[in-house]
Amino acid sequence: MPVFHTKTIESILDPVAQQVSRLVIIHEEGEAGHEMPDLERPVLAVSKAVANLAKVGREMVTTTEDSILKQDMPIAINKVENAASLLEDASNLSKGDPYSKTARTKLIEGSRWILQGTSGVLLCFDESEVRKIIRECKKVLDYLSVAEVIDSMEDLVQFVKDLSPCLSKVTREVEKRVEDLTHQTHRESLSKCVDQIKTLAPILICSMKIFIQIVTQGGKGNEEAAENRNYLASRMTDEVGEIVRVLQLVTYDEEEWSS
Amino acid sequence: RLASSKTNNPVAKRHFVQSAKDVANATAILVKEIKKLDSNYSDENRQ
Repeated sequence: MPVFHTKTIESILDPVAQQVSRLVIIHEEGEAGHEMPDLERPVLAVSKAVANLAKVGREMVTTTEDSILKQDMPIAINKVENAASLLEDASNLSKGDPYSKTARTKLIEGSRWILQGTSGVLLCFDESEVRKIIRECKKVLDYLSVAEVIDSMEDLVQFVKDLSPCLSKVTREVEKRVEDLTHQTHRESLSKCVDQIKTLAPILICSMKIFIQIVTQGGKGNEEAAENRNYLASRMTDEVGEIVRVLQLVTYDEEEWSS
Repeated sequence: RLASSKTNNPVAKRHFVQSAKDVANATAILVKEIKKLDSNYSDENRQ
């Protein structure tokens, strides 16, 4: 089972996660009571990279309109910066005493926290990207909720004009997201929803058109036509709702999916 | 409007992801350096 829920995050963190976990094992096995090399240069490289990530992250915070990102990102950045300070401490300590146990512990803790902190920063960003897609989904849901009050061709034309760009943005963004997800069940579930939406959308429009034609021409069967339209709108609403739900999942719960 | 268009900018996204990647890579190198000594130590022990 993959640990990281997107391929982007996995590709960034997987190599370092493996390195850090091996280091932790070595440390826990107590094989590390010896002189430490001069780590000034690699620690400095980490600090510089962290400073740059912090700069880019803070720039993102100043330019975003996402209030949750504004709130969460600085906290996540602080954690990585603290981890970098821990590494710097360790490097300075080990310079004075290459056998320092405290330095060794700080190095391992620092590396671990850098990993966790970077993961936190990436998750903040990822969640905000997901919220962007969800916002588009909500727009689609809003349009679907007015489907039953559309009773003229002019309104239907406007309805289609409003709904189409939102709907195609949702399907495009969700398809892109599916490509990036690592959990197979989430991918399959989202793909199924997108396929359903693509099938249902033209039928819904058609059912709305039939309803309007019956009403304006005074024909029979307007109740059935309305029922059919409402059924299709609610099916689409359910599919979009399911997309919103699955998009927010980051872990795979076997029990939940088997039920 | 300008602010929101900036965050939607794929270049900014790539830049962000790249800077996280740089942190991860630098950390992996550091951890390898720390471990290098462990393997040297084990080798010396075996000899």
